[in-house]
Amino acid sequence: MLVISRKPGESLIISDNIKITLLSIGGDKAVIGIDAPPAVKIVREELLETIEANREAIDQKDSQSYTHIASLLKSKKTAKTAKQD
Amino acid sequence: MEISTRDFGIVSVEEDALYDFPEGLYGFEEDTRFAVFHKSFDDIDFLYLQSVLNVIPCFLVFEPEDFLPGYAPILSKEDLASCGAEGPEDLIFLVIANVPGAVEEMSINIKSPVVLNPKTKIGRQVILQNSDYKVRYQPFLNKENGGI
Repeated sequence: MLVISRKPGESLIISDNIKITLLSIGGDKAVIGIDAPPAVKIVREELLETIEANREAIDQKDSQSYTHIASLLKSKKTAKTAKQD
Repeated sequence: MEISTRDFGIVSVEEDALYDFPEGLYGFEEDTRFAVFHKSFDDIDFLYLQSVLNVIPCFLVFEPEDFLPGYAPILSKEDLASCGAEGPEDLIFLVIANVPGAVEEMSINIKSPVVLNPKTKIGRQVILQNSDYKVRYQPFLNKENGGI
């Protein structure tokens, strides 16, 4: 990964037509401004990951999977109770 | 009301279990009404979020506290407003599960929970501000692998 340091107000340019500006830094958050042609799609990574995860989640599970999840859940609960004692 | 489900044929649900999702779910924007119902399996209650308009999508969901007792979702002001809530305590949170062939690798999306407002009967999927919450948290594997 290319790593570049920027101060607030400074920018960098990607392939002549996309400009990314670091607007401000506060706490653990950096605010970034992006100037790009309308055809360039910009999404937050976690949004894309969520769409993918949702699409994968719609498959029907067989009864064996449920039995397995139920036993994993039960052993997790047992472990938790044991820890509290 | 009777609904067609993916896994259980026709299921009868209370009016109370129906939620409007004005924006659908991410990747399923057309599905704007869902029912929440549960089915017992080996003494464990499994929760389902079933589209009322189509048999698919249907999601296996969990209450996050089942896995993370200290689940503390942080919503942006905009998300709280769109859910018609003052704070997360007004809302019900459900997390969507992904069950692969190796069941112990099951993941739950604790970063983008489904949020239900029981007062307004509106549901949304929101992306939380919590930066340590992962889209694919694996509750049955070691904590190091899960992200929390």
